[in-house]
Amino acid sequence: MDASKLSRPVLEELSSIVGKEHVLTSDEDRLCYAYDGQRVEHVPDAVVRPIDAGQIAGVLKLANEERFAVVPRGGGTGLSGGSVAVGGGVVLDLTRMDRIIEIDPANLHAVCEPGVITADLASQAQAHNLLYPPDPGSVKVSTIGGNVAENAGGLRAIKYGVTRNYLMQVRAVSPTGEPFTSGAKTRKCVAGYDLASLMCGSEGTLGVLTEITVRLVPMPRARRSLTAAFDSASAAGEAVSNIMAAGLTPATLEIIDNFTLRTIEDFAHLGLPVNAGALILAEFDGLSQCAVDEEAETARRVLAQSGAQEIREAHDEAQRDRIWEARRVALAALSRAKPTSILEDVTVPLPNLSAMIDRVERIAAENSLSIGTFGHAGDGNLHPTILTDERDQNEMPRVERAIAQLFEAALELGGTVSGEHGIGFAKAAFLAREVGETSVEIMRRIKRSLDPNGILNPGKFL
Amino acid sequence: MTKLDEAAASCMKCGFCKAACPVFFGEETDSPRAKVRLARAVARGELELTAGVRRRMERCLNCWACTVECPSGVEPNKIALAMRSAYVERDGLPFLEGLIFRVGLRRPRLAAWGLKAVGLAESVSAIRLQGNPLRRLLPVLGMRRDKDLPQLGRRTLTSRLPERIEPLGEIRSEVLYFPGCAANFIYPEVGLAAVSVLRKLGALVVLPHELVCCSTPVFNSGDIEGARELAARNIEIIRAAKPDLIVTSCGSCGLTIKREWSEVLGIREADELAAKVVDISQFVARYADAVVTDGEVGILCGGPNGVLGESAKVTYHDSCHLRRGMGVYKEPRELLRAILGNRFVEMEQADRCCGGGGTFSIHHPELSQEVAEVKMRCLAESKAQLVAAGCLACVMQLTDSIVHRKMPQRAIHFVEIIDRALRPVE
Repeated sequence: MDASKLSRPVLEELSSIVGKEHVLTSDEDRLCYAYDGQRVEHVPDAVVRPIDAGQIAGVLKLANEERFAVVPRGGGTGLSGGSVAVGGGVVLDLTRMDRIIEIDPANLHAVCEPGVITADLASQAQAHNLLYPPDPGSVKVSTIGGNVAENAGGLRAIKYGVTRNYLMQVRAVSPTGEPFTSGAKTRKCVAGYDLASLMCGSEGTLGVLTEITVRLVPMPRARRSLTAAFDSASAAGEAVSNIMAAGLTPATLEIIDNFTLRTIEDFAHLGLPVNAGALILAEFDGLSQCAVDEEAETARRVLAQSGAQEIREAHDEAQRDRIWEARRVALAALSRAKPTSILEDVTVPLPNLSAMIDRVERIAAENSLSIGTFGHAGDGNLHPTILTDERDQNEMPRVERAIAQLFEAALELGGTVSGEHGIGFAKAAFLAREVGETSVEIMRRIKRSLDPNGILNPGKFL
Repeated sequence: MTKLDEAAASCMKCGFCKAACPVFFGEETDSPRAKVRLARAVARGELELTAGVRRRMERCLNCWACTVECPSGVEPNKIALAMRSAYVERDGLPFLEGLIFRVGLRRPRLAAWGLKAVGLAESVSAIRLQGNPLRRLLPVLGMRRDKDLPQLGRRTLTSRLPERIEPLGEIRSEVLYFPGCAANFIYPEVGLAAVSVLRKLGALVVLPHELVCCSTPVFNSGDIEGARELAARNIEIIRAAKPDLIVTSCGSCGLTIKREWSEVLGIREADELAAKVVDISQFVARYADAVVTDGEVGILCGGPNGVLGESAKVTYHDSCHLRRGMGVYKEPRELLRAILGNRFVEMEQADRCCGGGGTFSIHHPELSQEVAEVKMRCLAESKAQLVAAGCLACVMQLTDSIVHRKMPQRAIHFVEIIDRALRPVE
């Protein structure tokens, strides 16, 4: 392992800003901050753990003077390398800033620091009978700061939207070390450029979040969950489009393909229809039972008309858990089947969902790879998961090719290479293909104007 | 080391283990996935077996929470154990641990004498009393000044009972009771309660006096060789006794006999014993049920009012090794509910580690109490006056944590409640 490239005076200066015990420089510590939830690792030169905006501003000012990179990090669970220090530098671990400052049931908002675990915020909100809807798969370990920086999605995005839709206000520190505020604790706010929104999904390249205000919604009081089995994955994809076209708004609408179904059944023995081409899982929720009933009944009719072989419904909490257990363990089941699992994130407009599913199957066959597909079908967001072994020299080139082909397919079908995981460095090469050179150039100009020295999270998507 | 790399290879670093890990308080280095990554670094030669890696591997309670949570089937706790053993293999054991693991635990009579001497010192100095000024010496030994010290040197279980104990009624089974060190040396009343319960349910109890430590604290400290020696001795004794069942009253002993002699120590002969190992709660549930359905006697009658008072509420704490290791969590609850009715209450996070972890609480007194904080908060919120557990290491840690916070609750092994409620089969 390479030694830290930061000089002793710089490290001492960092220590004087955040305290000696909050600057980690040992090989062991640095290695533990070299990774996130994707494969590629880069060992940082130091890890700094600030406690407030003042310390963050101090670190960033020093970084601009001494020209070292600063990479903000929350739970380190990202899937596109957003918190990995590509060219070295300092990882800014924000998890000590983990206070929930207020939950206001009158204005339906919550204010918290960036290091709060998202599930903790959600459960505090729930105590006030309020819902914080964004629920990425990592909700129990990822932080609200990371969720905002990556604009995290989740299972409920189809009805409730993603993190951006809940962001009211941020306090942040600019790349050059100036604290600023954007947005307001109001439903409406058009005061100037929406810098809060700009921060959201910026993957930590434009500022370091220090305080976040999110909107909350009333907790739904009624819900119905059902599953429908289909002959083929593309038939299931059609059914998803039909449900949405029928004017229904499920809270969640998921799809699991045959390969994934069989893998889950082998793993968890849930009595799933393993011969089905794909399974759809849907949940409707709302404030009144009758509205939910109306949606669920219409959905049953649409699913039957779309060729569902078998429709099952949960009649109590235990049955509901059983239905969602299948979805919850999908990734676990897939990732146990092979040593390495690579989770992709392609997303297409709804009418092209079944075409995308067909393409995934073809790409798997062409490259002789096992790809299990599941995902948030209702919002067109699929998670084709390639099962492989990263130590297998023969297979890895085919894996790389398949990933590229998946991206191609998503773009050809009018979609995006990433619905919710972010670009980071893993997909940087595809950004221009998706948004065009001009768009990337505008992004670069924004980045340069805010961060002239390229301090914050360099090497990500631009 | 190749095996270690293989064991760690499936880790996709999703970080889900962090939500489960009781020693993770935000610093990535303390997370299970970090331990897996560091082990991999050593296995691949990216890092040496440094003191820094060792320190991190020792900050693990072996509570299995990460292993249960891991989507990819990685076992970070086992990886940490393997790493600890690599250090012991290279550096040997510290003097005191060597003396205990390699000498004391192999000779139960010698251990009893040693504990008598310590117990005598305890009595003469009255150091168990919280106000005693001599307690200022405890921090020198690495203990908290207010540490709850159990009375050592009491008459051991094996010195109170013969090696074969007839059942109270007709013989329904022949079982070997494996009391473990705590129920033999420190809390013999729990061992007596377990034997009493077994006898009431028609078991002829074999209690070999030569049984030694199950080896849990020994391999937990990385001494695989010392642990193998203990396991081999126990296996020889158990085999000679040819019991129908091996009954344990400690989650760690039970798990170690059932799985770890084979899985951690690599002793394949232990596999044949695995199917015979049952926790005392499983034994009671099995035999008490049979009796009740046969309509012979309703045995779960009476009540433990003698110790508890009419209205005291009781909650249950899952020992990690009992729940996640042996998969036992229903039976103790069902029994307590049957005995106590609505006086049995569940606490939040009942399955979260209490922070004891055997010798962990001695090596990391502060961290151990940080872990215990959640448990104590949930205990207080449960409104229970008594917390029952199925492992004496937990009872010891819970008691110490309660004393440390000057809380009014008490911790007890559930078998004592069962014994008081159980009428012999007639």
